[in-house]
Amino acid sequence: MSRLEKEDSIYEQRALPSEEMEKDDDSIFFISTQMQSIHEDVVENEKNEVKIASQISRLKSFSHDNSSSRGNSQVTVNKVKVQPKLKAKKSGSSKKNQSMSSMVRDKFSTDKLSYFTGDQSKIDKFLKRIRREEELDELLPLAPKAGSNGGGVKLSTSQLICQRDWSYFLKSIKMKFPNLRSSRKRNLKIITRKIAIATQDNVDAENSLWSQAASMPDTELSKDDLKWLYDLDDEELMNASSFVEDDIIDNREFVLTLSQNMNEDEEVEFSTTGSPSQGIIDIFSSSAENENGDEIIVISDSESEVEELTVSMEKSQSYSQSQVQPGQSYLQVMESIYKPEETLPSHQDEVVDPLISFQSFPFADPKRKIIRTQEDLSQVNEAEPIEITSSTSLSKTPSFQQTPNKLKRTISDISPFKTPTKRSKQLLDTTNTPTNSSPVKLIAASSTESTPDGGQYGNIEDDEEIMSSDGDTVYSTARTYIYSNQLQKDRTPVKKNGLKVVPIRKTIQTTRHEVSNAIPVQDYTDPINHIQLKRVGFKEKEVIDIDEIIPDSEDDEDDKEISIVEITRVVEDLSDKTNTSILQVPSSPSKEMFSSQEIRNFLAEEEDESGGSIDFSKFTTTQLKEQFKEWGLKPVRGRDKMISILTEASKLTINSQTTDSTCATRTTSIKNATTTTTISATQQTMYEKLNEIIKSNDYWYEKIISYEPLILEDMQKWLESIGYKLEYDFLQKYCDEGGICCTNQR
Amino acid sequence: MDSPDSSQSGNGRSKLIHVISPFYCVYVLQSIPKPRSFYIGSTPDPIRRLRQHNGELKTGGAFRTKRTGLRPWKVVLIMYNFPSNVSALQFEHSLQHPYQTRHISADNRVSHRKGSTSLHQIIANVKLLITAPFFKTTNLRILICEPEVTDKIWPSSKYNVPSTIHVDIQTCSLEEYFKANPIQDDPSFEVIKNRFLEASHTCSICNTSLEFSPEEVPLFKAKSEVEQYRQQGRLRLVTQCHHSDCDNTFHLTCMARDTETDTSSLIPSQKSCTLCHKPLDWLTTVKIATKLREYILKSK
Repeated sequence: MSRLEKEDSIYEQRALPSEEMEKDDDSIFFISTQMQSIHEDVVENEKNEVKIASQISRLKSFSHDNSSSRGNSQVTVNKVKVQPKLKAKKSGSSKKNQSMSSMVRDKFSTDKLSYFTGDQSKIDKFLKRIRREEELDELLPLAPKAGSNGGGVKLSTSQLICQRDWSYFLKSIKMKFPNLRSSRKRNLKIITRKIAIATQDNVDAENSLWSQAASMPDTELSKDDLKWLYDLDDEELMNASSFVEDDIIDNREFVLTLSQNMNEDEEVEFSTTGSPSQGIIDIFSSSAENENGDEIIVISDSESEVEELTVSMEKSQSYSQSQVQPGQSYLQVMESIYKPEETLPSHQDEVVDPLISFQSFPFADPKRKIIRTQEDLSQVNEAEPIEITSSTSLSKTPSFQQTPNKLKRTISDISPFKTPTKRSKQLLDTTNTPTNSSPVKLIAASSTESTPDGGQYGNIEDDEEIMSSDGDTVYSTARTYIYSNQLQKDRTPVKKNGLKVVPIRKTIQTTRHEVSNAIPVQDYTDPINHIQLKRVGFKEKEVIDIDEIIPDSEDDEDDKEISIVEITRVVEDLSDKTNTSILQVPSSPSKEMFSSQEIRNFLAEEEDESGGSIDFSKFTTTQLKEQFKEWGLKPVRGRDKMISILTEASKLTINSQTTDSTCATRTTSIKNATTTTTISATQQTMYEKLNEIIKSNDYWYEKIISYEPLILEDMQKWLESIGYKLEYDFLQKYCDEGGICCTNQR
Repeated sequence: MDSPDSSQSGNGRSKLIHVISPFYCVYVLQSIPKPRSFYIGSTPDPIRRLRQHNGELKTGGAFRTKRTGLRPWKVVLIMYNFPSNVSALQFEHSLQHPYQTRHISADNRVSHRKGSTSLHQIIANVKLLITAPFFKTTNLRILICEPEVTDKIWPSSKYNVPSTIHVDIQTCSLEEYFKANPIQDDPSFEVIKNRFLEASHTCSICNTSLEFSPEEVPLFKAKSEVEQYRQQGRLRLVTQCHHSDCDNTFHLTCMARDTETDTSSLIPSQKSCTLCHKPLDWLTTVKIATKLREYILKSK
């Protein structure tokens, strides 16, 4: 019968497909697949709805309000009865402590209804929410609820999610966060938080350290920059380096003028006492060919091509020229070569073609200069990184527009060219020929004025060192640094005293002169004024033997040789040091120009000449600490204490110049021995000095050579009575090195 | 450690004047039943001390060596020729705490923890200490009593400590050594002492007369008094060349100052007698000088 019925139904279906549609949903077959899918969706949704509705109705039966709940309590009781077993089982099986929430979660997953059975209030809450939803639905026209949202509980504003959706969400979360622990996945709060963080991270990606480091530097002006620009004063701009942009070509013409002109100009703010032109002349002279025929390449601004600019001194020129009057601040111009739009200038050596790269800059206020001291010849030959200085902060582009009016006139008079225009070249040519120019005289004059004992230099024939100013070769300088000329090969690079002194920024200027052989020149060192005169080399004077030229009677026969003399002096830096800041090409962001080591070496050598004592108070605290480390002293707290200790200890190092050469040999000989000494050369000299001191005293000397264990405090007291106030740990180290036994017994 | 020549010092505890003890050594013991246990100590008389450790003598013997299962002990090696007890004690302490002693720099360290050390480590530490600048001037000597050490452990530069170091190493048993070099007053000392007592001498280097009259020296009771006396320039160390045939007399300081070659340390290393030109062993010279001084001070 059943088969028959089936057949009938099928037949019926076939016969009346449209009618059957309503009755038997499963067997409907549409011709159009789209319709089919839609139909199937609809059917499924309806099924879900029905299911959920039934579930809710079942839940409602539990509601407190419902009077039928009591009727169902039996059911609940049954269920409750079942539950404890499960509960017990569960708690028995899981040995570890579960948190409340995880327990609830577990229960919920296994049997939703059981979750509620224990707690009537939960049921009520749930039902309330459902009711609210339903009410809302009635009030509001419903948004199309078909489709992915799923029926059942409306999702428009709801927080209620049906099971299907919930599992869907969970699945998607599992996929997105595969590493989440399972306990975490279900906690919506955590998940949302994570999402928030993730999005935040994406936002922050640009600011993260890595991305910053990996990216190109900012080319926009930062807020700080803007502020700085805004605050930029007139004054500051006097000193401002000129970073020139193309569109800021001034109406001003920067003209290179001669000394004569310069003299008239008094608005130039030079703190120089002498002729302000001196600076320019210096620059010119430096650009000139010096005796060795080398050119010193100096760079001036270029606005058309602001490329990577490095100033490199060619290897052949290992000295800079600077005619300076002592006491006169030296004009030093530095500029920032930083162009925002382009890449940073490289820190590396680069030979710059002076014809290409130019820089224009206002002649700086001498306040604004930095002179670096460099000691070692060996380093001189390399191209140095560009010293960029400005009296302002470490910003990139002081806007050129804001050049103060004050300076305008003056700048126009004294500034060099911006571009190597023809006109400028002309000017240069006209103004600065060897014959016209009086710079020679000026120099001579100034040098004779300034030197305390003018007689020393005597008859300096400066004619030789001429600024042969080719128009092409004269540029305004962007001198980056000055370093003392140390051409002498006999100048031993050995660290004398081993003293490493700190970078006291001394301004050291070196002048070269040529002295005829009529005047014997000896190496002279004036320790007080820190002046040093050295004979550098010789030069043959060209004897032009022409009949027309009658040799001067004053010319001596042996005047053919001219000795080249270098004078190094330390010049008072008149500038306000606080104003100067040092900008380096950012790839080397260290503040110190040189490593403190280098400067120490240099100053140590200076020390030798001067023979003075080191003033530790000028050291910074970090340098003091380094000094401590180097000398093997135990660090102490308190800057004053450190200074006093070092001063006392350094007493041991003074006047040990004579032991330099022997010191070097000794250190090597000691190392050859089988002992493993790890003390520095300074310490070595100090210990040797201590040895000498002790030797002078029979009592202590005898104690030591007879291997008597010393009581260090007594020795300390004795040394103090002599005048050497040394630290206990220092003496301890000394005894360790010397194999002197110490004890505390009395 | 009581001094063997307690006859001279009235007070066993504090000594009035520094004198170089005739023998003082640092020793390393190894337990026979438990070869991984070692003990480091110092003594002026190692044979007696060993007996104490092993329980043969009633008194003495350290606590750590008393434990059951460790006795009897045997001597592995000893270091001697220390100039003072204090330096020997310091050496002992360094050897016992090689992981923290300041005489071994952190880079060279072999032992890094307090844990038990192996014989290789001990030997390595010994090598390190001997070459340390602090102990370098003392000219230590080593006596190795275990042939295994000499043959295998010492030459193997385990722990990167080189084995070729300038130190005298002998290998023989303790008994043999002390048979050959008994710890007794050097007979040469007596000879020199008598020479001084008989006639007055002058320093051959500075040509001032040497005072050697015990009668003139007052009786001191405290070390500070002695020090004060010495600071006045009295009681200077004087000695003669320790070679038997030479009687070159001099102040110790005069000889030390004379022909100073290596100024890395005050303590002279190589000296030769100005008269007979034979090399002077400085430790011996000082030993005699200090003994003489002690004699002056205490013979009443």
